[in-house]
Amino acid sequence: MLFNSWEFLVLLVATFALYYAPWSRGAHGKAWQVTLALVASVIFYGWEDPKLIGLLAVSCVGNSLATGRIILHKVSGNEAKVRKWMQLAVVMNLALLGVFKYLPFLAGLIPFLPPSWVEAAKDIPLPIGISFYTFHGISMIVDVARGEVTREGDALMSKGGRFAKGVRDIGFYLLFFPQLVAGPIVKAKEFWPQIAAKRLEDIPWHQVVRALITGYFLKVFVADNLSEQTAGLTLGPETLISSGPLNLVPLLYGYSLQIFADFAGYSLIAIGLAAMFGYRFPINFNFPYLSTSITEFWRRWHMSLSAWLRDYLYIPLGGNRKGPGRTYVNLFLVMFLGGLWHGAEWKFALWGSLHGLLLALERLAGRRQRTKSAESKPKAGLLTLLRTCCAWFFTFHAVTLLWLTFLMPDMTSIVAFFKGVLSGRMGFSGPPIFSLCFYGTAVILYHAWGWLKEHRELLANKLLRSPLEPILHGVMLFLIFTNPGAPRGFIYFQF
Amino acid sequence: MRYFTILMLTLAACFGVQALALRTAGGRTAKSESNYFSSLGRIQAGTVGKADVMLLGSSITGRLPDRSQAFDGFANMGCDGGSAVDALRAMDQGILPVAPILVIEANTVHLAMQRKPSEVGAAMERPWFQAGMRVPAISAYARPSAFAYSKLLARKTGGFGDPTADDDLRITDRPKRLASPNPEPLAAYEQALVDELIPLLHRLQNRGCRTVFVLLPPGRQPGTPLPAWLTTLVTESNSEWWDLATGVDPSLIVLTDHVHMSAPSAARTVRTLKKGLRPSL
Repeated sequence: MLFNSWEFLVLLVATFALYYAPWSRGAHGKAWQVTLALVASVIFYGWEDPKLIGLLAVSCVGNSLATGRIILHKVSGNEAKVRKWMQLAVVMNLALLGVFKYLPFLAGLIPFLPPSWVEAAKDIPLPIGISFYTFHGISMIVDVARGEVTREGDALMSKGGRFAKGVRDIGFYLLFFPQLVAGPIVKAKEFWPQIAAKRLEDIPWHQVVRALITGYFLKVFVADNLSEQTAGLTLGPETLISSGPLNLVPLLYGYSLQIFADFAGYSLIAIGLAAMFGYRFPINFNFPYLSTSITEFWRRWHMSLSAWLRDYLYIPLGGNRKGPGRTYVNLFLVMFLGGLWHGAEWKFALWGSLHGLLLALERLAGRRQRTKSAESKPKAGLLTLLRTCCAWFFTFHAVTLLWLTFLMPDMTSIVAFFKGVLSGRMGFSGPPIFSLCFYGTAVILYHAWGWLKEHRELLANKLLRSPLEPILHGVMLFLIFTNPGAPRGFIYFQF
Repeated sequence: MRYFTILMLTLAACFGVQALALRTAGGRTAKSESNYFSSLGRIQAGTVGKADVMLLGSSITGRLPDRSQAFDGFANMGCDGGSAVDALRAMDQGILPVAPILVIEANTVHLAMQRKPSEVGAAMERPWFQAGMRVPAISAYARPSAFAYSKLLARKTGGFGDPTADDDLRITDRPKRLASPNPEPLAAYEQALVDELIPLLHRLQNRGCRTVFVLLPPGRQPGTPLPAWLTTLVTESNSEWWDLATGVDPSLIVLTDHVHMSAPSAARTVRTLKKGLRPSL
C-alpha cells in the first residue's frame, strides 16, 4: 500500500480512530494500541500481495523470539547463549535476504549451474522492503547482544511479567507501518523506551502537520511530476543516442531532484505518521544537496542507512583504527556492499564502488590538507567562499552523475546516455526543461531554507515565528491538491 | 490556532486565484507539460456543461481549438499519445457523457490495436478523475503548472484567430456514408478491434449520437488506400466518413512537427468541421 493512495487514507483514518478510542485509556491501553498498530501494519504490507505476509511473519517472529531470548540470557549473564542466539538470528536474516534478493543474481554468476536452475532462481519474487526489515532485525539483534539496550529490553520483557507480551512489543517495533517498507531504520534503543500507552492530547500536531505537508509536497508535487519527464531516460539506448545534450542533461538534473524529493518525502511522511501515533523517528535527510564533500553527503543523505553501515559494518571492519590504508579499503568495501544492498545488480555495485572510491580519495586529500594547514592557517574571505562553491559544485555533480546507475536499466543505457550527451545535437523539447524549472525550484528553495537554518539561525527562527510558515504550508497544500503527478510508487520501495 | 487560521486563509486565497485564472483562460488551460494530464484535462473539460460536438482522438485532435477559445459548441477531448477509443469506451460505460455529434479522429484509431494498457483509460475509472469532472479546482485542466505552460506555449504558437472568420480548408467534400468494402479477411487484432467498436458505436447511436470518422491533416501517405478494417468499421457501424486531409490546398495546412497542425491550420479545420456538420448542429 502506498502512502499516497486512497486505500491508505482509509486505513490510516480507521486505525487512528480506533487507536485513540475511549477504551485505549484503560488498563489495557498499551496492549490495545500495540496490537491494533500491528494488525494495521500487516494489512498495510500485505495489501498488494498477501503472500508476502508469510515471509514478513517468519522474519518478525524469528527476530522477536531471538531478541526475547537474548534479553533473558543477557539479564541472567549467560553470554555463551547470547552469542549463540545472536549468530542464529543474524544467519536467519542474511539467509532471507540471500535467498530472496541475491540468489537470482548469484545464480547468474555461477557458470556450471543448469539453465533451468538459473531460471528458477530468477523467478523468486523480490519481497517489497526486504532490505529494510532485515537490516532492522539485524541492528536490533546486534544491539541487544552488545548490551546496548539491555535495560530497555529488560523493561520491555518484564512488563506484566509475560514473555509473549515482550515479543509482541518487539514485533511491533519491527513492523510499525510508517517505517516498515523504506525506513528510516530506527534503532531499538530509540524506539523501545517509547512503547507505552499514548494519548490523543499528547500528539505534537504542529510537527505532524509540518512533516506531512512537506513530505507529501515533495513526493506528490515534486517527485511524481518530475518522474513523468525523467521516464524519458529509460526509453532505451537507441532513443538516448539519438537525443542531444539539451534534452538529456536537464533530465539527469531532474532525476537528481526527483530521487531526493521521493525519498526525503517518504521519510518525512513516515516521521509525521509515527508522530500521529505517539512515536518519534529520527530525521533521515538533512538537506543533502548542500554538501560540499561526498563524506558530508553521506552524513546528510539517508542518515539511518549511513549510521547502520557505520555501526554494523565499518566499525566492525576496523573503521579508521588500523591505519590509513585499511581505512580506505574499509570505506570502499562498505560502500560497495552498501551499493549491493540497494539491488543485486552490477550497476548498484558500480554506484557503491564509485562512492567508496570518492570517499577514500577525499580521506586521502583530507590528510594531506591537514598536514599543510598545520603549517599555515587557511585564509578566510573570498578564496574560501570560492573554494566552498567549487566543492559544492563538484559534490552535487558527482552525486547527480552517479544517480544514472540508479535510473538506467543497464550499463548499455548508461553508455548510450553519454553518447547522446556528446552527440552535439542541439534540438530540445520544452516539457523537460519546464518541469525542471517548475518543480525543481521547490527542491532548491527547500535547500535554501536548510542553508538559512544552518548559517543564519536567528533569521530562520524569526521566519519560523512569522506567518511565512503557515502561508507556505497553505500554498504547498494547494499544490498537493491541484497539481499532483500521476500516482507512482516510491523509488526506494524496490530495495 | 493562529497557524491554522493563516493556513486556511492562504488555501482559500489560492483557490480564489485559481478560479479567477480559470475564468480568464476560457474555462480550461490549453496544455500541460504532462501529456497524461493534458489528456485528462481535455476530457474532464469536455464533460463540463453541454457541447454539441465532441472531438475525440489523439494529440492531433488535441491541437484543435474549442469552446475555451470561443469556438462555441466544440469540446476537444483529444488524448495525447492515445486515440479516440479510450473516450469511446468510457462513454459506453457511462463514465463520460455524450454529445449529439462525436467526431472520431480516424488517423490514430489503429493505436488501440496495440493492446497496451492505456494509462488515460485506466485513470478515467478512478474516483479522483470523476471528482475532477465535477469540481474544476481539482481537475487536470486547472493545474497551476498547466496555466504557466499554456501561457508559454501560446507565446510560441500564437492565437487561433476569429472563430467566425471565413477562413477554412476550402473543401466541398462533406461527411458521407462509405460503400461497403469487398469482403476481405482481417488480421485477428484488426478483427478484435472492429468487433469491439461496432456494437459500441451502435449503442452510442442508440443514445442519440451521430458518429463521424474524420481523417485530419496530415492524413494518409499519398496513394495509400483506406485500410479494409477501417472501411469495415465505418460502414458496419453506420458512421459517416469525412476526409479533411486529401486534396486540401497544402498552403492551408502548416504542420509544426510533421504531425501536428499550427494554430491557424487547426482553426481552419474546426471552422470546416463547423460548416460540414451544420445540418445537425
